[in-house]
Amino acid sequence: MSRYAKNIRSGIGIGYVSVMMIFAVICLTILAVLAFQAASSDERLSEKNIDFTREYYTADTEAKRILMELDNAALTASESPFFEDSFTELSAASGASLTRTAEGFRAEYRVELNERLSLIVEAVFYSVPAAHGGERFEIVEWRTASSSESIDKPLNVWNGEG
Amino acid sequence: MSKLRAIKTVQPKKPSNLFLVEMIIAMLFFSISGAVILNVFAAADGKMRRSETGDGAVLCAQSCAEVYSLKGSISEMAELVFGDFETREDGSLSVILDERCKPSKEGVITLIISESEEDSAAGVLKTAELVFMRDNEELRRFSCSAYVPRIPEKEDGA
Repeated sequence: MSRYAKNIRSGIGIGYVSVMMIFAVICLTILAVLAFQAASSDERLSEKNIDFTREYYTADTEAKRILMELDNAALTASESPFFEDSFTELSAASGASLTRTAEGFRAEYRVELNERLSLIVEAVFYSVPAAHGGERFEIVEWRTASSSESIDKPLNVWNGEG
Repeated sequence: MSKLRAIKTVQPKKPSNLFLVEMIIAMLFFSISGAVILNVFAAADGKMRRSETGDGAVLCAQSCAEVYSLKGSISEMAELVFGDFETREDGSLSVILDERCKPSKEGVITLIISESEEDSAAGVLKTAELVFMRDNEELRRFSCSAYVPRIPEKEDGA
């Protein structure tokens, strides 16, 4: 029986090659899927970045348009004898909130950037531009903020000093 | 003795046919799956290149927008940001960029910059349009603006 068994030549590991092949294909498949997923995530992030940049500069253009309206109001008001009343009346359409200051008016307005963010602009309009080198306004603040943030300044609460 | 002769004359089995069949099936399976996996890798590479170009375009557009907001002129903006640009027949500017949207003489992406104005008594609101093109196909489009107020000249002796 042992001679019979010796005379029988067995094949070169039937199934061994198949197992190695399947293992290699599984490894390559996992690598390919991970590479594709990483690339997809990167592309989605890039698209979000592009969309946010577009939204920001669209809001920026709208804010500059409102600034132009207020500047036109300031130009017209500076030519009238009553700057405060004239400017308040002419700038009402822009939707900006006005606060009277010693130099003229402080205008604040907000432009919606997206669902969560807004562009907040604050500028001072001078009643006497000649005292400021001919410039009718100066931009104090130009920033993005959460939409829930209030445009009003907090009250000056006494902090115990003086 | 006849039993011993019988044992000697038994032909050993030849499993080589089964091995060859297995090898053929394995090679077929490997080639098909390899082709599919290579396609997936190529798609991932394409996505990476597109997102790289997109990121470069955003950075380029942001630089242009910030400089334009200060200068209010597309020619000054292009001079500062890119250094080298061409003026087209319609008055717009064109800049050649590479895959990452950086200035390059042998780039594949063309950035076309055009300008429009809204005039008013107090000043001019200028809007610049930035269009990234590749093979006459629009990739990305951005717009930015600049407000240039009119400041009256000082009267001499006033």
